[in-house]
Amino acid sequence: MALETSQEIRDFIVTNFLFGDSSKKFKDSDSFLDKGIMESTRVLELIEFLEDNYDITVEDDEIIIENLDSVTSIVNYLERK
Amino acid sequence: MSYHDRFSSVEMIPLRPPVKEEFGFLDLEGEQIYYGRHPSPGKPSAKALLIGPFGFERLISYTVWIRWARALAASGVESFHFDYRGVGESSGDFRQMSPVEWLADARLCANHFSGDGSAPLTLMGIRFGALIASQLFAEGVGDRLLLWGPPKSGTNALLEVLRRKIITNLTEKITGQRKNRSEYVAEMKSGGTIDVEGFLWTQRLWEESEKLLLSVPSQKEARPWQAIYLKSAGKKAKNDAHYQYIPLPTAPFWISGSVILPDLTDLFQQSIDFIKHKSA
Repeated sequence: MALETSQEIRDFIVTNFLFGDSSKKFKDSDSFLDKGIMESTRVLELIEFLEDNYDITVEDDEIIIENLDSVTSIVNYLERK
Repeated sequence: MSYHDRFSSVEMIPLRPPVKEEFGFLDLEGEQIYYGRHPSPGKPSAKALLIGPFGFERLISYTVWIRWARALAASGVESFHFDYRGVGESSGDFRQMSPVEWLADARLCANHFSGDGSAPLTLMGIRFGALIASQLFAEGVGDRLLLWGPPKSGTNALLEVLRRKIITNLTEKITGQRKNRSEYVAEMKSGGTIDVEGFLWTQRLWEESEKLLLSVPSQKEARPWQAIYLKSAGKKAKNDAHYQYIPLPTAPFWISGSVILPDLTDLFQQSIDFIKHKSA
């Protein structure tokens, strides 16, 4: 489950934020913000993706770095939901 | 494949306009509404009034918006875009503006642009502008209605932008006490003004937006209309005559730089086909 979700998140990031450029490498634990992969408009897209695909509602107080700033943090957040 | 080839709809967007463009101002209630008119070569087969987003989304979508206007002109559709009062190049104090004023702005531009009515007019709205366009269409203005990414209501649209305000706190790693959207809304409702991406939102903006709903044409509506939802790549959805879902790497109103422009060929081509009556 975690492995599958991790790959889905990774595919979304590569396709939508890196425009399919898979040569740009990042680890599951890498910070999207520190790597320059994501800024505010992108975070909104990511949240919409999570809500659409995992049937969850991301509450305002859940929009924090600990939940959304890496593949690992997103997978952990989805498991807690 | 080059970087440029991968990201640009180069076939559809002329590097220079086919006919000299016209930029100017329309007067309304003491303010000036900025507009751009993009004529097509020869007699236009159709006209499209582009009714755009407001605030920060107007700023970040502008590159794509102009390219879309030029792609239309190159395909034989004369296009016209404008800035709402208090936004972009138009004059006016944003704090005094609301959907009431912006609907009046769109109505004025429709009257000005439609001219003698010899070419069918499509009202083409994006995001918040889709709500405005749908209301204008419900008044009987226009021959066709095309919407990109319409929200359900003004309230939904503003809540989504407020969510981005919260996200900014995250991306800029702002610490300390943070407000949620309910608290920002309560602040506006009690008469306060809040800064959202450089625009000062007021009680009136909120309350008038609450009244603004997406006006979905009834089954009796004879004029063609279509809503295109712009989904993340990979998201599948059912399409029909009125509702289309086009996957994009990123939607036009999220593009924060002019360097990376996604390939919008499918969106542009389908929209042009609709406007030029090739699809019902």
